[in-house]
Amino acid sequence: MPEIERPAVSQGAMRALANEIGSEWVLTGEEDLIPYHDAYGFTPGDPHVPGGAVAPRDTDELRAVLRIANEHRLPLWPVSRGKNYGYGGAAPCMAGTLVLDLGRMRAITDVDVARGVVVVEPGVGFFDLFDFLEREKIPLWASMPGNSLGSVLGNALEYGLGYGPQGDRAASLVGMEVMLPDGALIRTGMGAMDASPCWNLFPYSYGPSWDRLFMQSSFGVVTRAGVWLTPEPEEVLSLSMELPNEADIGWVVEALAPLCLRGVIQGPVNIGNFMRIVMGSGRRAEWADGKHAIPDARHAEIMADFKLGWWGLHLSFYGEPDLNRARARVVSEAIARHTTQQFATSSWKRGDPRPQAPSHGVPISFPLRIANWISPNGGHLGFSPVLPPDRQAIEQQISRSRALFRQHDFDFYGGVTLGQRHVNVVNMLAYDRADADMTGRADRLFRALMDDAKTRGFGEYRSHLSYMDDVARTYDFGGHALHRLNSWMKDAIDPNGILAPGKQGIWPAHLREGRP
Amino acid sequence: MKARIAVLLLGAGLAGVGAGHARDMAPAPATRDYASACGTCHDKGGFAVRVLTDRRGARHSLIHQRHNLPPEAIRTIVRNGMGAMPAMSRLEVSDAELTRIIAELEPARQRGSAP
Repeated sequence: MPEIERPAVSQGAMRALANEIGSEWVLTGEEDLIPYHDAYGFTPGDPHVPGGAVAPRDTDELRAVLRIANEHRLPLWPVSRGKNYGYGGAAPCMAGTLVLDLGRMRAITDVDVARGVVVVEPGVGFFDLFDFLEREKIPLWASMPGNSLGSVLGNALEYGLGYGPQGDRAASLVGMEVMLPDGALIRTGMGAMDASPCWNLFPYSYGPSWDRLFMQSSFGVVTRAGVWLTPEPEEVLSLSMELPNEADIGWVVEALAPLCLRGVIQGPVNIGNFMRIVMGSGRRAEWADGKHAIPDARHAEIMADFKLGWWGLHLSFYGEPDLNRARARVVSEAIARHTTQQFATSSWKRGDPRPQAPSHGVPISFPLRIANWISPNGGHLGFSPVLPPDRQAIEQQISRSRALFRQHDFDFYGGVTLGQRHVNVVNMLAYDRADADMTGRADRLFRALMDDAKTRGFGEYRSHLSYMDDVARTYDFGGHALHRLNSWMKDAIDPNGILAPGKQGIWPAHLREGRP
Repeated sequence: MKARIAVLLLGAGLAGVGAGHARDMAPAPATRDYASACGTCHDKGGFAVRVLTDRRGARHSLIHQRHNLPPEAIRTIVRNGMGAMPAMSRLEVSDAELTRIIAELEPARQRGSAP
């Protein structure tokens, strides 16, 4: 990685910002900036140290911030709530960048109960949305992520995947309002027509669709967007099965992929290995010495202790009880071709108290604890390549991932998420941030996973700040033709390069020099 | 029929949300400040309660019943984070809100769990 020049934030720019939005919302003090550091970062010298933070209240203040940034060529790193832990949190890619914290823009601006849509600003968290729906007794459920402290909008913009029928959150984001770097405010889709009642109901309009250009992007600041929610189901029917063997994942994918394709299964299927549960237990010292991986020989004993299989398969069906039973029967028949094990079933019916589970639209924060697996000074890093939903490809990926984790002496936290026509294989590694040997191994393991996936044509769809250039480089069709288009677009829409330099490997012209 | 609900600003006039039920011990402060800033993790069933139960035992698992958390410690932990708890910015909890939360925890702390 080339040496990054750390731009000094000019005092004049900071004064101008304070004049526009109030000095209490221009944060520069050491303690003020702690939440804007990468809490799980480990690279010495902190290449992602923020230069400050600025928090506009509304689009008028945001426009003023962008104007000042253009005048002073001040780099800004927009975050919605900055809770994307494991990917950099609220920290900017380039050291010295000012974090543009949109957390004060925290209104739910519209609800269409009949159509299952809310319009949210970036600062609205999953807990906020849940509290609002509960308090107003609105019979709609949001798709919840494992760590629900984050922003509903931010999570979807980063292609978050999760639970329930609307688990593909990027696809559930319909109709955006975006401020461009020059301060122009646009609405995408049907919202481009004044007073359209269909802004958040139809994902297209007339002409090119711009929405995806503002996802994982530095081309504009999304100031609000429609989010599709699931109507409260009459029933949730849940099936669970603990699969005893590592190799079982192959037949599970073979059996379930056609059912995802045909819509028998609603939303993504998340299958995690036992470590995903065990790593939240805080009991590591019982099975391993220091910073070394728990030996494979102890896995059986741990699985027995936690009553877990190597993989946990959990499915939920949402809707009319008759439909749920029909779906469950089709899934059970498909599984029965591969195992004599039966599903454990449970159901929730409308009116029952909701279980505290994201599968039932209830936010949680428990998975944050995984950061503490190795030490109280822990962190984690994920690599999640996209694969075809093909048995052999998944078996080989898991086997190669396992070998690389063993080689680098890390516990394997693994997951397989089935979409309608793809699979994400989650590889998560946890480390002690202060242990240079361990973080060095973590970095080498991440790069080994990335290189290995690349040789098979499998790419990562999100990454930590420190690997954005590296991951972007793996997208090399036509001699990196897409990267050239992205760079051209960046220069056209953000000529002063003020927004999120380096995000997803896209740099403004004046910072592109020397980068491959 | 089209059902729309008027624009709602979070944080406006929401007293009573997260109101604590009567408990044997000191109840959690029944204010929006505490419920939204702390309660999601630190009230019963929350992730921090589980972590603290494992680390310090059930008796010390609810911060609103802790007798050994001086105000300055609360402030430092909120602003710096601790273990898996992320640091909270002044946008998430303003200094004024934090001061109010600490004041709310004070009487509960005084009559909190046995030493």
